[in-house]
Amino acid sequence: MSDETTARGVPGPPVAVPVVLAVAAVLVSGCGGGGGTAGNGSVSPAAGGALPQATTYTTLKDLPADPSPSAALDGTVVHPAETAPVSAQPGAPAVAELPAAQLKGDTWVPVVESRPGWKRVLLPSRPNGVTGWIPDSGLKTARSGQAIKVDVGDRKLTLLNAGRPAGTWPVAVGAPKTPTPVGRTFLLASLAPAKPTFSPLILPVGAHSATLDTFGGGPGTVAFHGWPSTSVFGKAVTHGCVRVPADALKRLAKVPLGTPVVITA
Amino acid sequence: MRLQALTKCAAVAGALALPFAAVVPGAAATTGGAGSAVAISAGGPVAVPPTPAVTSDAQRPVRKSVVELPPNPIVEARLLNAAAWSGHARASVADLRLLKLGLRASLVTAKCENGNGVSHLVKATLNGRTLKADAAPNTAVTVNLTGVGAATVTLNRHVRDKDGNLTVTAIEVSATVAGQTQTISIASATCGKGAQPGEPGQPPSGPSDPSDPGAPSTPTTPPSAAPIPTPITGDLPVTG
Repeated sequence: MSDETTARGVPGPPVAVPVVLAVAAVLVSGCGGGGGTAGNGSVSPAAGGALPQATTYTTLKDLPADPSPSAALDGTVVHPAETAPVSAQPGAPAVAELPAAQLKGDTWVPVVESRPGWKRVLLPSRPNGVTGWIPDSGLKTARSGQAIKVDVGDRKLTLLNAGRPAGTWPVAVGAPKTPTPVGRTFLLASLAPAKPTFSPLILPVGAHSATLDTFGGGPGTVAFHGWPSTSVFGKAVTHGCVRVPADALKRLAKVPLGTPVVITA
Repeated sequence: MRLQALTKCAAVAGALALPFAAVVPGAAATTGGAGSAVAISAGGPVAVPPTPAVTSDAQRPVRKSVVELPPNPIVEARLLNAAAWSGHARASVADLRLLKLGLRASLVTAKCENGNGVSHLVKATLNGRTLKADAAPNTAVTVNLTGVGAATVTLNRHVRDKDGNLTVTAIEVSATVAGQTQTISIASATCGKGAQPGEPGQPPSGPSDPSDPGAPSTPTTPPSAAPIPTPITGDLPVTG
């Protein structure tokens, strides 16, 4: 059996090296629970930690695509307490791992299908709409009563609460050459840049630009965020992100992670 | 080769054991979607990945076998078999030992055919008490784990999902120790309902069966509200 450090792996390749070391130090020193005593003798499902991590930085192969990318979800969201093995079918061998944290916050992903003992969830990796099955033991289950709809054609964002519109705003969407990808995704993280340039808050989602493999050194992740100039709202001018007015951002900041985001053409 | 010989031996054992517990077959052996089978899996503080696991909708069985379960703190087993094909699944485990629970069995099998399932135990004992070879679906036994908690052992567990797919698990253990839930599934087979209306042979149980107390996968309490996120100080170059 491999030792605990290698079995758990370190998420997120493009993190600066000192941060990686710090994360590794945290993992070794206490995240495993029980300070590495034999009491929690976890057998990692991914012996050796060789499986790819389901994060915004990775592309996952051999996993099924979202079966109904435009349908509404029931708002069930799950958080894996520990890294969860991800399979293409319930009971099939794991081909990836879903870490407990994404972008330094808790991982919350929406459930698209359930089978006894298993949950099929949307994943934050490329390709867009990639799903996987995770065992439902060790999952914290919760419910988000909200949903976010983006109509790319109308350039509007609607926040739904219990299925009813709670606010609609004009937004800036992807320009014709760098369109905002359509389909079902979810709110992945809530980030407050230490030195904000264009927005006090960045809300990445699980989807990526289909035309930009990387952008600004990042993996081409689509996000909701604000914009200094209000003239962009209602226009198709972005690199794929959805720029939203300040009051929309304030409302979106209170939406639970994992909440479904449905982007339609 | 030794491995193949052992595998054949187990397959023969399974074939011999299964007729004692005959399934009422579906009216038609037409396609029932993919079958899937897992010999052993466990979740919780000690996770054992599905070993072996197979899912297939082919017309002929796809089989996987493992001679011995890799060492872990909770379960020992040999000759683990899983087979699946369209509308069918079978799983079997030999020489099963869950020492902390006092559970032993020389052979455990589960079989699912077109939405009907059955499981079977050979020489199974729980703390010295002999377990019925063909327990009624969802027979639950509670075991006191001296000093650390309690476990529920469900024999011949039947769970049907909303699409009509049946999962029959020969032995399902759910134990809560120090606030954490450990589950162990022994010989689990899942198959689709197939295309037979009426379902005359359907077992008298389902996911809502009140006699199924240890079902960690079907919580009855509604989930709590998802937390409002606290922004994390950080940045990700996104697509502007």
